[in-house]
Amino acid sequence: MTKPTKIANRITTLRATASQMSQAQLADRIGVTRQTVNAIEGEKYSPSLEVAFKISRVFDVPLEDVFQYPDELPT
Amino acid sequence: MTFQERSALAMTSILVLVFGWYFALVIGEIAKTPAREIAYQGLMVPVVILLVILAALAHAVIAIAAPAQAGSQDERDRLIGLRGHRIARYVLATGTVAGLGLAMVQADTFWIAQVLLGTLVIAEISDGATQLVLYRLAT
Repeated sequence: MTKPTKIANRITTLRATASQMSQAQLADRIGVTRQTVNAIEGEKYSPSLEVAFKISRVFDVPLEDVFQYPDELPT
Repeated sequence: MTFQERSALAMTSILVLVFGWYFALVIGEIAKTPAREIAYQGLMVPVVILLVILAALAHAVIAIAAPAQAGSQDERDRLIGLRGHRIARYVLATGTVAGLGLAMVQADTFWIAQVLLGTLVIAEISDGATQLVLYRLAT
């Protein structure tokens, strides 16, 4: 019923480099629950574009430094 | 657990308990009394009042336990909610057709009422159960 998203991300790494920011702190800054940040990090949930942009702005990096999508789509 | 997940768990549990009790009583009466003579209407009102009281109490407890989360809902909560509602819609449609079918064959009002009420209850339980599964899968 549920398939993991194909969108990969570097949020865990970015949080670690941003003064060990916790999932809860990131969640507060982007206006979602900690569980949603956990699901995004675990690549089980693809955030909306708005939340994706908010995350990239929190870490002050371009969107593609946070989220990556495979070059070749499966056939 | 988020506020919405706790809410879904509480409502699903309350529905199972309250309407499990209602249907156990009503179905138990069928063995003793002809269906058209069972006074189910008198039981429906207290059941609905009990449901409202338990739901209000459960949500008050959930809100007191985590005041910062009370009533909060983000985009993932909304998506999971919509998926639950979609499943509930199929159940409602099926039950409504079953109720119409009973009306067409001129079944007792008792049976039509039980099928329609049962449909509402099963639809709500399906909604809640779907949401709980999706939350656990971390969707």
